[in-house]
Amino acid sequence: MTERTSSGPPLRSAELSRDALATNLTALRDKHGDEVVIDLRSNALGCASAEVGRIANDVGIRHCLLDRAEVPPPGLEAAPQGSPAVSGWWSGPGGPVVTFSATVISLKDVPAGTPVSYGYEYRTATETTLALVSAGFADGVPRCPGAMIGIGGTCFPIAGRIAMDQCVVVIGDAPIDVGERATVWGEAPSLAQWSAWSGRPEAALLAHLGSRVVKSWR
Amino acid sequence: MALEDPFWLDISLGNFRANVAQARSQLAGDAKLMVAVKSEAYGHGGAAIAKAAVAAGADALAVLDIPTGLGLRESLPDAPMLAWLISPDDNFLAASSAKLTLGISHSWQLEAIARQCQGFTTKVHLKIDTGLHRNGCLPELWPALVAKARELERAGLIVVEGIWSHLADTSLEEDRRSLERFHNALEVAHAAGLSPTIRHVAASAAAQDLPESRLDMVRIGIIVFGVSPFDDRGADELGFAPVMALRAPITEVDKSSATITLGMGFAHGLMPLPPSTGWVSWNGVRLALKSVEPHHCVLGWPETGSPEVGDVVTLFGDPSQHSPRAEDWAAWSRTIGDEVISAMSPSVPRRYLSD
Repeated sequence: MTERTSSGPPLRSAELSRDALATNLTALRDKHGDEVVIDLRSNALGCASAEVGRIANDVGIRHCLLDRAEVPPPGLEAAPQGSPAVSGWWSGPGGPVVTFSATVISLKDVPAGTPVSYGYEYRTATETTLALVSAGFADGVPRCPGAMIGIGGTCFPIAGRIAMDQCVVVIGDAPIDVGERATVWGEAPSLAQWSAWSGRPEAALLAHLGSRVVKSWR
Repeated sequence: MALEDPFWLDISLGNFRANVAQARSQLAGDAKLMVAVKSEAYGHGGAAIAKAAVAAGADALAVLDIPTGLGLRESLPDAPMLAWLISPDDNFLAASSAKLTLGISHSWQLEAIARQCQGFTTKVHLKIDTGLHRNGCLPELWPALVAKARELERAGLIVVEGIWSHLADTSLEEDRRSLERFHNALEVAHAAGLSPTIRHVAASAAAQDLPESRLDMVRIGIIVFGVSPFDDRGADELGFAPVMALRAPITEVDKSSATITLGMGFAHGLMPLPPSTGWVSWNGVRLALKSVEPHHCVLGWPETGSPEVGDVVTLFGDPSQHSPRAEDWAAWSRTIGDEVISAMSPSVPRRYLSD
């Protein structure tokens, strides 16, 4: 397990919003009715079934689907195995519940034609700045081409192959500093965009957040 | 065998030790051997694998970042550990007092050491960017970086033990070009008065295919876990066996629809796959993978035999036991074996086997 050792943000983190979750769960209850069963299996996709269950209870949801032999969170009743259950609490009218971010740890000014990352599959089209972001596929960034990362509210393309622990983003002349936070997914880009880029279900992307990603509820 | 577990990973420490020995003889030659244990040792379990690597003769460990190194330091008080993914928010003093070696790419990192680590002599390896354009110092900034390093070395704040780079594995020709840039950077460092004793650029692929890149040390990651870094050669052909095998007992059998269910899905770290892609092994017999769902997999019926609830299936593991390999899952999901093994959720129990 990764140990926290500094006062600043960790190299990779996932912040989970209780407010967004409550709004999204309320919308699910309104849509499916009071008898809705919320799917908490696999520890709510690794996002803490106790916390999701607690907030589900707060908004009036009474039933949950759990892994075999698991004890339901207080106030919730476990539905029989195989019951139809709803998921998708991570997005909705409350906005994204999970914001997965990392740190810009290096900036490089490079000329046009600069190759980036393994296999030199990408070359810069113009003179530009490359930002190195401290998250890669071992953290749950899907190793797919054509994806983007948000820094300072703007989405920038990832250059070349995503590596195990890091990826490179092309930021042009945007005023970005070393140490700034980079959003892998959250408000922008969204989890839905990453799902489209990678061809993987949103639930898989959430569940694949790696052990180095420090999760915290806000 | 605790049959109540719906899935688990068998981690063969025997295969891992043999792979470390194979890396030593086939990939390192006369060079030192650094074993990469970053990201919980590619999902195998950081502390267990780091200890096994050192016991099997690894000279040093690649830990990637300072928090990982600090976490491993407790169980391995003496092993050299290199951390190079460094953020301005890192605690350089903690790193230095834990005797982590820091991979330095930028002047601001040296300045942070000078500011935070007074009273310590921090071991550093300066990294030159030879074309990958990820970490590493750009050649035009290199003279300033080595000058700054020499100044701190004279002041007793650091010792420049190593100079290194990371190859792009684009082609042997490109890697040779990068190696030439590396030697140029070394000359600049020597001219500035530095005398590094550990020069290293080669990871698994270059150590295998470009022996002149081995220099003083090779850094071996993926192949020591028995997964190939190459598209055109399996790890077994290179003399390495998989360390990780993913197993799950059958939870349901429905003879009427000829389907079999496993209680493991992509929520536990499996790669999502298109319908009817791939297969798993039931005692060496192939069962088609009909679908990978969030919390379970649906398998097809075998041509011979009759699987029963509780029978243990291998989702990936050792090809010599007629199992698919992590590389097969990688091909089915259009990625590399590294991602397949790293994606295994911490919720999947790891069972360490001594052989």
